[in-house]
Amino acid sequence: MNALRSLARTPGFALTATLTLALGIGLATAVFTVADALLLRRLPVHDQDRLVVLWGQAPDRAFDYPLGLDEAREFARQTRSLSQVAVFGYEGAWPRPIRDGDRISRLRGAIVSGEFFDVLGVEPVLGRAFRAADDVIGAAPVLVLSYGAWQRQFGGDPKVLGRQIVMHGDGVAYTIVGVMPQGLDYPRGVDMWAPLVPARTRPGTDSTVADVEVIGRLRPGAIAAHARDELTAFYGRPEGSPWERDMRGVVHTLPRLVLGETRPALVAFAAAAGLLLLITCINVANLLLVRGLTRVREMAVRSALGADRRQIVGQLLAENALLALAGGALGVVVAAAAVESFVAVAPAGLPRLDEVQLNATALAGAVAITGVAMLIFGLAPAVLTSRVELQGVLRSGMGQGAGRRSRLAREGLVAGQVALALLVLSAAGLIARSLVKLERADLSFEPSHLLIGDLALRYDQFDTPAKQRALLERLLRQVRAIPGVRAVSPVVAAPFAGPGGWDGKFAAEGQSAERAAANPMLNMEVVTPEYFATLDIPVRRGRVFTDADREGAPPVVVVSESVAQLYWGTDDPIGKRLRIGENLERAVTVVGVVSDTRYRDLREARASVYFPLRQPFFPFEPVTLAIRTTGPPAKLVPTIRRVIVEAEPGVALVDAAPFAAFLAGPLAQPRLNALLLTVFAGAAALLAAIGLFGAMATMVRQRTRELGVRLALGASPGDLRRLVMRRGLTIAGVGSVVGLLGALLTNRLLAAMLYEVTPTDLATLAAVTGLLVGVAALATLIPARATTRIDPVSALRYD
Amino acid sequence: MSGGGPPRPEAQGPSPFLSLRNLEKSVSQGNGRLHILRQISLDIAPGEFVSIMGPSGAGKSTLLAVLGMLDGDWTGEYRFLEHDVHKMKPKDRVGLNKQHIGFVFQQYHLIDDLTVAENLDIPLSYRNVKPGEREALVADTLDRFGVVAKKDLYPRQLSGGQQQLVAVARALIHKPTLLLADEPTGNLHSSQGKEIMALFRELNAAGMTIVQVTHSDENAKYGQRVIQLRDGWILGAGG
Repeated sequence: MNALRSLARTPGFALTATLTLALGIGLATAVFTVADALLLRRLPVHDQDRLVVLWGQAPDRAFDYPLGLDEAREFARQTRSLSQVAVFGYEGAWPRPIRDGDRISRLRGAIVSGEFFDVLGVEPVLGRAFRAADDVIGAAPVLVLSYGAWQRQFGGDPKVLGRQIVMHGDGVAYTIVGVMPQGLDYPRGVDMWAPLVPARTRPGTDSTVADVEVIGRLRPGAIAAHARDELTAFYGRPEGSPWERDMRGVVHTLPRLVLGETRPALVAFAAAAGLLLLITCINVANLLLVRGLTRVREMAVRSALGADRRQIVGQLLAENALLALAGGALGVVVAAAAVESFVAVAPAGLPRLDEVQLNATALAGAVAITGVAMLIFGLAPAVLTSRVELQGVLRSGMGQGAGRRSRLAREGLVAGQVALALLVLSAAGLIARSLVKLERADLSFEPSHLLIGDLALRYDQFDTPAKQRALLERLLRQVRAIPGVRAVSPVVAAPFAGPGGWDGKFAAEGQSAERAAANPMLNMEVVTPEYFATLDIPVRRGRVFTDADREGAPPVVVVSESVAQLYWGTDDPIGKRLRIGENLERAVTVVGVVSDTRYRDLREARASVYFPLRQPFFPFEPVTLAIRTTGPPAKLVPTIRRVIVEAEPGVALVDAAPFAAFLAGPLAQPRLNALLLTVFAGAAALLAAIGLFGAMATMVRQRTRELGVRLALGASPGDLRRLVMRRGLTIAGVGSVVGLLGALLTNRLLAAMLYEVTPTDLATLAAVTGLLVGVAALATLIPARATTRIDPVSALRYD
Repeated sequence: MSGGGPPRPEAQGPSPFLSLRNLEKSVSQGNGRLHILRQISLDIAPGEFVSIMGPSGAGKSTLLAVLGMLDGDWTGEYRFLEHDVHKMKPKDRVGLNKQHIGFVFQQYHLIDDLTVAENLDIPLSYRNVKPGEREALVADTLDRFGVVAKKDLYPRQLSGGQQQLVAVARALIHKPTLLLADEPTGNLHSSQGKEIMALFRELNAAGMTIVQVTHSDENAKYGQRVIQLRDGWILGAGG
């Protein structure tokens, strides 16, 4: 009760402290919640850290290779480091059109071997996992749903078992036999798993062909590096193919793969939250210290009346506990709102996003954080305040504690806050600058008025490249004829497909086998003559394709500038020849050079080789369309869909969207990073400003008499304002210098999240320092202006 | 209100150093007003040493603040040298204060965080004195008041008498023409008080005009004239 009464007497202090705590604890809790969901929580598998995924890598580390199914099986037989092994399609969770009556939609499917779920050690929440009998030639098609797909596609219907999903591509109906628990997100983004062998067995044969990655459970005592070394040794075996000899094994633990690229961001958020909590604690500690100093006399009187040190510390702690409880409770409200906002703005591709919600664990986290905060800010001022020299205080009637050392200590704390705020601000600044650079990255093609859509077709009907090409030729003519369509061309994949594109290894004619082996993998596109006009890609040299570049004519390619530079340096690449194929058996002549584009990867312009659609070389044809429109592309989608359906019944345009929508994909995570860190930085700057404001207001209050003396000695109000401003800016300046040094040391941790910005980017550091000093100046201005209200007569206590 | 009505101002010659006419100061209190100074008319001649005396609450320190232009919230007329202070803007009053007035306080009011030398420098820092000149003036003053050895000490390291000595030195460093002292010996032992008063007499002999507020008859004797205040009224004057 005493504590409550004591706080009620100083509502301004109690409110400021509570709100400061709420902001700090709330945002820190929100991040704890997210980190708990995405970083700390265990996957629903047995002993997740023992699970490893393996694949191959070229010697130059430029490209990852899957294993052939037979190779993987052989490796599984030979391995000593893995106790259990399963394989899954290297393409991961790939979008597959499914048919539900007339409606064609998509689910992301992965093909896995029958042992997949056994290796993971996961139990379905509904039905069953795969059995060995599901993964043999001729087995009835079955699939297991992810928890998310079960909820989204089937509304969590417990009677989903036994229902069928028809794959539009081949018309095969799969029976749902199980649902996996929430959080089992591997391969990433997966909606459904199907057995590998039936899915990849050539119809009418017993030949199963699949490129796979290996997932295994480490034997007791084995470590991931053992499995990697085994795979490297396996590649070098004498009976292996020659091109595999130089390959090496790559291994990752499953949790690392499931968390993917979000880990650096989450670590950064957690660090930012920690800093924010620290700033909060310093702020409240400072508030309490100031308050404690103004209550020195009260404490002295209590001591004189018989209160022992334990009782005084107890009372102060009771007040602090009350504040922490109020701040913590309000913090939970702030946290809930912050988490809700986080989920609302988070990119769709963020793994396990559906699990992010303020839950009991997070609440416990909030309590823990509050407890730590209490210990940090509660004990120090309590102990300091109780260390009062009774006699001095009672004799002088004034708080002796408000001396030079105590003031310097408090100003030091504020400088520390400024330094921490600068750390968070600099991180936010670098991330924001990266985002701006990424958003302004030159794509080398025109992104507006561009529509991208996938064709869903039945591969049982269009089962050869020739049939697919003929279909494409017909559809391209139909689509081109639609009013509002300027040009159309197939493309290998939707924009920013990353590993989802096609890659190939080329050798320049005349290159030695040794040098050719070191050539990097290049992006490949299969396009019509209209492609370059459709995307508006500038032609640098030579020509693009014409209708004459067809079957029977000399095989030609167009290359991007980096390819020309890579193989021929400053020589004219036109007329030069490249070789491609498993044994480099096919020679193609370069007829043109175009710019490198960022179509496949926003962060990096890819070196690309373009093949003409009419010179068949690949085992299947691309079925994604790029359509250049004269007006807003989204408006044309219904017309294009109708035209395609009418022209080719059974073929559908799915996932059609303006290019801008695809651009949102690779920008989502950087945007989220920038947004969250900006919120943190804003909060940190605000808290530091509150801290500085408090310190300066206290200084003005405690030095009122001195300021009055200065007025009496000839100071003008402007002189006093400058005195306070100078002090505030000195504190901010010292904090900024320390913060800058800290930023120079720690910002390297952000490197993985930066794009074309160095962790020590001077412009960014200067800008955020300027911003923080500006905020500090504003925070100091109010107490500085308050000096004009000082009446020297009152200050000097005349009469 | 006690007292026998407004006293007549005493003529101090044709050209007073400062002159007050019908000066009044009051502050609001509850529904009414509390009068602190009533119809104060007063002339002080150049080089005079005047003591203001009276019981607590008589308005002595307020009158001193008005004279020192720290308090501008009054009515009436105040002429200082050739300036009509009552017509001046606050900023100009600050200017006049800077140029002519030095203050000494009962609590010394040295600034705790500054050394003796830094305390002496404060008035100069507000008067556009060049840094080199400031250093020289501080050095001279330290020498003149015999506190050179203490120049790097902080106020808390000095005795009360030494602190007041420094405070007087600080009040005089910019060579004011009027020294205002509010109970300058109030916190000092009698021997220390005598030293300060002797110093005041010395300064006055050298031509400095001094107005002090004091409760001590003995200290008042160092001056040439006493002004008695009671309940805001001037009761009379003596020498």
